[in-house]
Amino acid sequence: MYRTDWTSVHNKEKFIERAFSLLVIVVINLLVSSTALAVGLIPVPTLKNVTTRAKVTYDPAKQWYRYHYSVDNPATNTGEIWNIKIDISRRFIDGSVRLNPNGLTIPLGTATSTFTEELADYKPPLGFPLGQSVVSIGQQLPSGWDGGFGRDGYAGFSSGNDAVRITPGSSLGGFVLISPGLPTIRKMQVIPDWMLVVPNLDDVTEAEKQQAGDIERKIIFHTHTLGPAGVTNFGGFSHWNLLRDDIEKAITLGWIPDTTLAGTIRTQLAFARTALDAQDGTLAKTRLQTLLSTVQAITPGQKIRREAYDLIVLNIQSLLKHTANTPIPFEPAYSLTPPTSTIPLGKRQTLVASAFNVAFNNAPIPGEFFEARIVEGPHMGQSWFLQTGANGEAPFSYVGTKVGKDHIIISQLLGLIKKSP
Amino acid sequence: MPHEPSFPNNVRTVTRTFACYNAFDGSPLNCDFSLKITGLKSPANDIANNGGHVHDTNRPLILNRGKLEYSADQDSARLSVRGTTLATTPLVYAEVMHKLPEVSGKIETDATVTSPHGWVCVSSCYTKTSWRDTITYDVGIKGLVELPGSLNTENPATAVGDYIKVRGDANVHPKGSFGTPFALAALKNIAKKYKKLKGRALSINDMSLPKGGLFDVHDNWSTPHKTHRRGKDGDINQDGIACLSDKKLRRAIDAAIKPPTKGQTRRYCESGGRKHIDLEPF
Repeated sequence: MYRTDWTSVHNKEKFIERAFSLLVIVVINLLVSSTALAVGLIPVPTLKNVTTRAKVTYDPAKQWYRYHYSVDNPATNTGEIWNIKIDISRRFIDGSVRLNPNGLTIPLGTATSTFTEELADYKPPLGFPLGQSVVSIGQQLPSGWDGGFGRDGYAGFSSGNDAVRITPGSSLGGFVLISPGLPTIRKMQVIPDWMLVVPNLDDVTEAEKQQAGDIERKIIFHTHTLGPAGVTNFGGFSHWNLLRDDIEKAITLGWIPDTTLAGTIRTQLAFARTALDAQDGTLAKTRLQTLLSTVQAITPGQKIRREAYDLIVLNIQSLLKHTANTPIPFEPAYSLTPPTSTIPLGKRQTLVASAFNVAFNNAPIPGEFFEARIVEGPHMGQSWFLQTGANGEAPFSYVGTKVGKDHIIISQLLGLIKKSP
Repeated sequence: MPHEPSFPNNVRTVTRTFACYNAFDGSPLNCDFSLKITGLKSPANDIANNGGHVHDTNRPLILNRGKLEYSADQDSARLSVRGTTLATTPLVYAEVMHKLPEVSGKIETDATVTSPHGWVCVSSCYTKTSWRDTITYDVGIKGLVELPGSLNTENPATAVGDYIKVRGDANVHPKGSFGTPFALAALKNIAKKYKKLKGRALSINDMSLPKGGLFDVHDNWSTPHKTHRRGKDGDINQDGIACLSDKKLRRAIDAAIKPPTKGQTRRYCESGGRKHIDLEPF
């Protein structure tokens, strides 16, 4: 007993010792972390729980989408937001044709450049990463802010001076991207004001520059928003795929918190896609219309965030406009009615030549040319040039003046040739 | 063939080897040799020779004003060594190490080997009994190009171009605006963006000397510039706008130079206002 008690005490001491060691290690780690995040003369800011909102509208006259952004900086942060960046990169695999940049302008402080002029600055060796470029954009800005884009493939909204930063506890809107690019889910970076500031430039060490680089990356608030896509073949499979993938991403991001609605959207899009895969574009669009009605019946808010609503509605509207109808199969056939008849001598007989599409519900074919000719019988040699009307029918008639049995045939004419005068 | 200068944490050396052999059977002989650093290549006021330093001639020709290194040196002078080729037995040759300076420029050396008594030289001889060569070490970073434009002539607010060059030590380092082609392209792009954003030209201070190496702004063959040696960085003048407040410059830099996804910061400030850009990763 005594021995057991002693062991028990001993083990307890060991436990306390371990706990103490653990505590010491934790404390040391905390110290290391805070030391690692401090370099230079400027305190490292915090930027968390930033709220960003996006709303997209479509300008049918110019065929531009306008992406409106606003940013809220919670009062609990110390970081003042000076730069907001949105991914606008475009992979050449998305299509070699650039979306029309005409009329898109970028305000840059004292100057305004066209998108094309800005793009010209990014040539090798200072071009975009291999196989990449940026989607055509224009920008509108709140007062005191600058636009533009960079080699990293991000469009930026940056404060032009210290007076216009988004300070903790404040929010700001009025950031607008304009693009013919369809809405897609894009990465967004919100960046607080911080730089490595040292007493003497010449004393900066490599380690300090490395620490500063780490800080510059760590203080960025990363989120997602809507931005223009690089897809150029609207209504094509890549567009359908993009919407499908974006809806999945939107669900993952919590943009469609109502799980029933999310499931319905997913199912209805898949149903439309099934028709497209079966090359029935007309049916696919009918089903897309159902999905559009489903989404439009909901007011953006608790069930679906505005971003997801705009993403789905605007893309479906574009798909409805650009997805090709199902090509109607065409297999013409012709008939002459009545097939047989007996009429008194001297009476007029009316016959009808018809053209119809046997591959598509025997639909009438208007505008077909025929020749009807009596090839055998007492009235042999009579003929008529005919053209079907809107109902696919071309009637003709003759008066039987001789007794006998006429045999009439019709022939399709590919065209008529008129003798020149 | 240029030799890179030494860097604070990276000593560059050239090694000269001296040996004598019996031309008939290849056996080693004990010859006398000497090696001298004779100075900067003439004319010393030529930028191609002085590396861009137009100030006093007391330049370091060896790293840290050290000495040519040979284990069996018979010479007490700093810039010369003397010895015999078999003095380092079991080696049958002598090796002299020259730690190159941090300063760029063309350094001339003079080497002589004299045959032992009773032997004569048979190939590429200087005299019947000696052999000699003078080698010039072109110490510097190759491939640097000057940022176009003349110095200190324009007001940044009214300048026509995207940038101006304003440097304080132009009398002693008249060519301090050299960089790699990539760095110059980056700087021009930054300046172009800055002009659009700010409406004034970017005022550029020190970059690198024509052949890189130590850029001694105080004309004393010493730091403060620890960088500015490879043509990959540049200083921007405060120009009335403190570095931290110059958001438009920061924006121009970030747009023109892809922000690194890892590694070091590419831009930083001095509390006094000066601005520094690493235009190209080191």
